[in-house]
Amino acid sequence: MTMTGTAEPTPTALDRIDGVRRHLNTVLKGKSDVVEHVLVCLLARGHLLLEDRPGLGKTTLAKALAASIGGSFMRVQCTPDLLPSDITGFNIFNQRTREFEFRRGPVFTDILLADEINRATPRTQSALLEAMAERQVTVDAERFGLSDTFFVIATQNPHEQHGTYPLPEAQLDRFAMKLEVGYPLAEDERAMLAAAVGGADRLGPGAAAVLDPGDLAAMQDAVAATPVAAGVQDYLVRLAHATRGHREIALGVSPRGLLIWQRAAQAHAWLDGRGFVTPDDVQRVAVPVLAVRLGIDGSDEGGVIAGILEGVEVPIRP
Amino acid sequence: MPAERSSIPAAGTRWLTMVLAGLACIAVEVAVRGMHGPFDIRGIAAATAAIGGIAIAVGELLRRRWPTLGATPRGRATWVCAAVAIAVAVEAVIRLLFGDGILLDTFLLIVLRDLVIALAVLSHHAAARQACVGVATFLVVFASASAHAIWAQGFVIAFATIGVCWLVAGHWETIEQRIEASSRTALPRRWLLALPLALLGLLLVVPVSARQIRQADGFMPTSGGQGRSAAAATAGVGDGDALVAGLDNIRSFAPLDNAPFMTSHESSLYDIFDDMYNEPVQRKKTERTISLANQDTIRNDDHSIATSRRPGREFSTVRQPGRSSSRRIADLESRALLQVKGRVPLHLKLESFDRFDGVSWHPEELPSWQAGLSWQKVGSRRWLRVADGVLCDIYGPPESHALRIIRLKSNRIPSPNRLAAVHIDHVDRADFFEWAQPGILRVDRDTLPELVTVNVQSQPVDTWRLLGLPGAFSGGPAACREFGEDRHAQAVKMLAESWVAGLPRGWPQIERVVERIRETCTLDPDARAGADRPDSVAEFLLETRRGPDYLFASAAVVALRSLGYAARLASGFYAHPQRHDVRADHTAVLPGDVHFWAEVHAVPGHWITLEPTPGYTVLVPSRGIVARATHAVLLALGWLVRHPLAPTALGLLVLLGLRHGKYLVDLADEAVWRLATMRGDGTASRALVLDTVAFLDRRCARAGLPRPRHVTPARWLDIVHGRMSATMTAAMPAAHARAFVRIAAVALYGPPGAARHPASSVTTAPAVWSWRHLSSARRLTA
Repeated sequence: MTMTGTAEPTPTALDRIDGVRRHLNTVLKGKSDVVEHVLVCLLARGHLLLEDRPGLGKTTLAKALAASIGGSFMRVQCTPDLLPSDITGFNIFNQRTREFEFRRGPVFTDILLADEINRATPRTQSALLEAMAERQVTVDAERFGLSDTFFVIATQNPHEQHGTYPLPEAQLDRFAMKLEVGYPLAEDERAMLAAAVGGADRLGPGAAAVLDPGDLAAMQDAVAATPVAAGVQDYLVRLAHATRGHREIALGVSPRGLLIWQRAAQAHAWLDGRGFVTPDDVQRVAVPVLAVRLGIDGSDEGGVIAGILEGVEVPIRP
Repeated sequence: MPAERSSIPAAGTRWLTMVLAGLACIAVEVAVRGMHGPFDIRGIAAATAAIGGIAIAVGELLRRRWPTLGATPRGRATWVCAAVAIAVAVEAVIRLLFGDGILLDTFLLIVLRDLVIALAVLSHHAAARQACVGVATFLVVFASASAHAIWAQGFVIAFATIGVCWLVAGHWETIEQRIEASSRTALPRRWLLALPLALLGLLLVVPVSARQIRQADGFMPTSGGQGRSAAAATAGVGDGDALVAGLDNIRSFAPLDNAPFMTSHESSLYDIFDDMYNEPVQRKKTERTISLANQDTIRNDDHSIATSRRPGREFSTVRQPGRSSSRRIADLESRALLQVKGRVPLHLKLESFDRFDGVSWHPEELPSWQAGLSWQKVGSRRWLRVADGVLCDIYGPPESHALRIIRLKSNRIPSPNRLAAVHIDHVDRADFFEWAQPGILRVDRDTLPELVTVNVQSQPVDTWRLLGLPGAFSGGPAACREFGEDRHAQAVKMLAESWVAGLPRGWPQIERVVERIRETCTLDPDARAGADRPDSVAEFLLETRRGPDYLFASAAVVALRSLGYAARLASGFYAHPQRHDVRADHTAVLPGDVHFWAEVHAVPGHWITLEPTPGYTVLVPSRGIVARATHAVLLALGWLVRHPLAPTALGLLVLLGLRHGKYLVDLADEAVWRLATMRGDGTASRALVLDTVAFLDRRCARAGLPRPRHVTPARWLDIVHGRMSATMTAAMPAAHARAFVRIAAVALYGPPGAARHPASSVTTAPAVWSWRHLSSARRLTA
C-alpha cells in the first residue's frame, strides 16, 4: 500500500530487517518481544541496558546482532580494576618509530557488549557513557570518532549488589531502553537443548550478514525522518508531565528522555511498516524506555508505567 | 499506589456560573417588579430561562468562532462597556419615545443585571466567570434586601449554596491546571445532582419564614421593642420598649390590647370607597308616557333597601371616570387604616351585596334567623364564639388574626370568611355585638374604637376538600340566585356555559369560571363601565374585558348565577402580602386596599371566598409537606384515570426507550452518518474516515463496549473485532476490518495529503462493527 506524503519503509528494507529479526529469534528462542525492542533500540540509535541474571543469552544476542548487521563485535568484562583507557584506548610509545601510537579500545566497534557495567568504577563508567553519548573519544586531547552505528549493550545483574557501583540516574538516562530477557519457556528450553545435541552452534563464526554496509545507517536515517503528528507529540509531552508529578516516581522523564522516547516510537512505527507514528507506538515502547530512567521504587515498574498510560487520554483527532 | 483524585470538569465551573447569573437575574426581576405591583414568578422564570438559553448559545458561538474575545483585559472591558452602553441606550430611547422611564435605582439594577448576562456569555474565560459571580453576588444581596416577598430571601440561600459549589469547582480547576493527574477518576455525574436536590428538599421542608428571618435579629443591638434591649444601642432601632408599649406615644402600630380608646376625625368608610373608585354616576330616571317597554333601557329600580336600623348603602358598578386617586404610590395615604397580625393574604369583609340590577349591587335585608353567639373562656380571654350551624368538613385548621384598628370610621368588624370567634380585651358584654349582615359582626356604637385590637378566629376553606363534597353548591338564598332573562344575561350565560363544558357540576365548574375570568380579562383600575350601558357586567365580559376589581367580582357572581349557583358580592379590605413588614411581623392595610370579591354558597350557612381578580389570592390553610405531596400525587392519579390513553402511550414509549433506546439512538446516528457519506465523490476523504471512526466509537460505547481513554480508536476497533471473532461462530470479514483499521490510523495520525481510498472501504465498516455483532460480543464476554 503506497501513500503519498508518508515516510513509509520500502519492502526491501522491511525484508532485510525481517531477516535480522529471524536470525535473532533463532538465537534467542521465545523472546520475540525482546528481539523487537532490541531492533527498535538499534534503529533509534540508542543504547541498550540489559538487566538480568547471568546465562540468559545476552552475549549470544549481542554477537548475533553484530553478525546480522555485518558489523564488528567487541566485548568488555567490567571489573573494579578496569581503567578508562581499557575502554577508550591509549597511546603507546613505539620505540621503532619513536612516536606515540594510539591503540584503539573496545569502543571502536559496531556492537560493544559491556558485561556487568555496574562492577566498573564510576570513572570507567563515565568513560564508556561519554563514548556512548558523544560517539567519540578523546585521548590526550585528540578526538577519535566512533562508528556511525556504534551500539552498546550493557548488562548488569540486579541481584548482586556486593562490590558494585550502581549507575546513577543521570548516567542511566543515557541509555535508550532497559530490557529484561527473562527465562525462556519450557518448550523453548527443550528446543534449545535439542539443538545443542551434536555440538551444532546456534550461530557459527561464518554466519552471513543480512544487511549490507551502510544499510543500517540508511535505516536509522529513515527512522529519524518518520513524521510525528502534532497530536502525538502533545501526547508525549502530557505523558512526560504525568511522570513528573507522580508520587512513586523519583525522577520524571527528562527532555533527553522524551527525545529518545519519540525516536523509539518512530522506530517502532517504521518496523511496523508505517510511515507515521501513532499513540500505540508510544505506548508499546513506553515500558523499556521509561524503566531505565524513572527511578521507580519497588518492583512494580510495569504497573506504575501502565497506570501512567491509562491516566492520559490519547489524541483522537488529527 | 497511583494518586487518585476525583475531578470536576472545568465546564462545571462555567455551568455553575450560568446558574448563579440566572439566580441573580431572577432576584433582580422579583425585586424590580415587586415595587410596581403583583407579578407572575413563572413568567419571570420562563423569561430568565429563555435569556439564559440565548446567552449560552451566544457564548458557545463566541467560544468556537472567536475564542480570543474576552481573553484579554481590554477585550473584557470593551465587552462590558458595550453591554452597559446598550442598556443605557435602550432606556434613553424608551424615555424619548414614551416620556416615561424607571426609577434611577431600578435602572442601575437593570444595568448590573445586563452586565451579569454579558459576563456570563464570556464565562468560558476564568476572569469573566469571577467578575460575573462577583456582580451577581451583589445583585442577589441587594435584591433580596429590597424585595417585598418573603420567599425572595430563599434566593440568598440558594445562591450561597451554589456559590460554595462554584468555589470548590474553581479550586479543583486551578489544581488540575497546575498538576497533571497521574490517574483520573471522574466523579459520576449523578453526584452533581445530589447537592441541588438536597437544597430543593431543604427549601421545601424548611420554608423561609418571617420567624427565621427575625431570628437573625439577635445579631443586631436594639433599643427595645422586641423583648430585649442593649444599653449601647441608640434610640430608634427598635423604637424602645416604652414606645412600643404605648406609654410614650400610643400611636405605635404594635397590636397590643392595652391602649386607651381615642376618637378621631378621619373620613368615613364609604368615603374611602369613593376615594378609591370615584363617585358613582347619578343617573337620570326618565319616565316614559307613551312607549313600548324597552327591556334594554328601562330598569325597574324598585328593590327594597335593607330595613335594618343602620341601613347599608348600595354599590354602583358605574363610577365617575378619571384616574383613581390612590393608584399612584405618591397619591396613596401613607397611614394605615388597620394593621393585621397573622398569615396573609386575607380578605376582611365589611359588607356583602345580594341583588344586582345590572348596574348596582344592593344588600339584602338581614334575615330573621342568625347564628347564635356565646361566650367561651379560653385561658385568660373571653371569646365571643359564633355557633357552627350546619356542620361542613371543608375547612382547614383555624386561623387567628389580630386586627389593630387605626382609623376606620365604621362599626363593622372586618371579618375573614367563616368568622368563628371574636375577642376584644376588656369587652365581654353580650349586647356589645350584633349581626350587621350574615357573617359580619358590628359593635354597638358608631365606630370601632381606634387603636384597639380585635382578635378574630376564622376557618379558611380547604379547596382540596370541595371536590368530593356531596350535595354541595345547591340551594342558597333566592336573592343570590337571581339571574336576568334579557339578551345580555343570555349572552353571559352562553359564555359561562362554554367555559365549563365537560366539567362536572360543583367546585370544578366554579373554579373554571374564576380561572377564565382571571385569564381573559385585564385588571385596569382606571377603566370604567359605560354610563349609558344597561349591563356593566355584560359589557365587561363580552366587550371590554378590562376593568377594576369590582367588575371582576361582579362578573364572577353573575356568571356563577347563570349556571345556577348562589353567589354574592363582598367588599372590604385585602391585606396584601406585599405590604407585610417582616421585622414587625404585621401587614398594613391602606385606603388603597379596598377590594371586592365574590362568594359562592356551598351548604347552608357556608360561603366560599372566590378571588377572580388577577394579582389577588385567597388564604389557604397551612399544609404540611406530606399533605401537599399527597395531594399532588392524588391529582396526578386522578388525571391519569381520566386520561388513560396518553399515559399508556407514554408508558409504552418509556418502556420502548428503556429497552431499545440505545438501539434507536444508534439507528438515528447511523442515518445521520449515511447522509454524510452520500455527499462524497466515490472516494473516502479524511473527513469521512474520521466521521466513520467517531460513529463507530459512539456505537461501541452504546453497545456496552466503551473505548478506554488511553486506547486509540483504531486499536479499540481492532480489539473489539478480535472479541467478536473469538466469540461468534459466523465468519467475520477480517480483511475488511484490518483494512479499515489501517485507514483509520492513517486518517487519525498520518500526515495530510495521503491518498484517498475507495469509499466502499469505509462505508462497509459499520457492517463489520454492526450493532448486533457488538451487542453479542458484549453479552458473551461479560
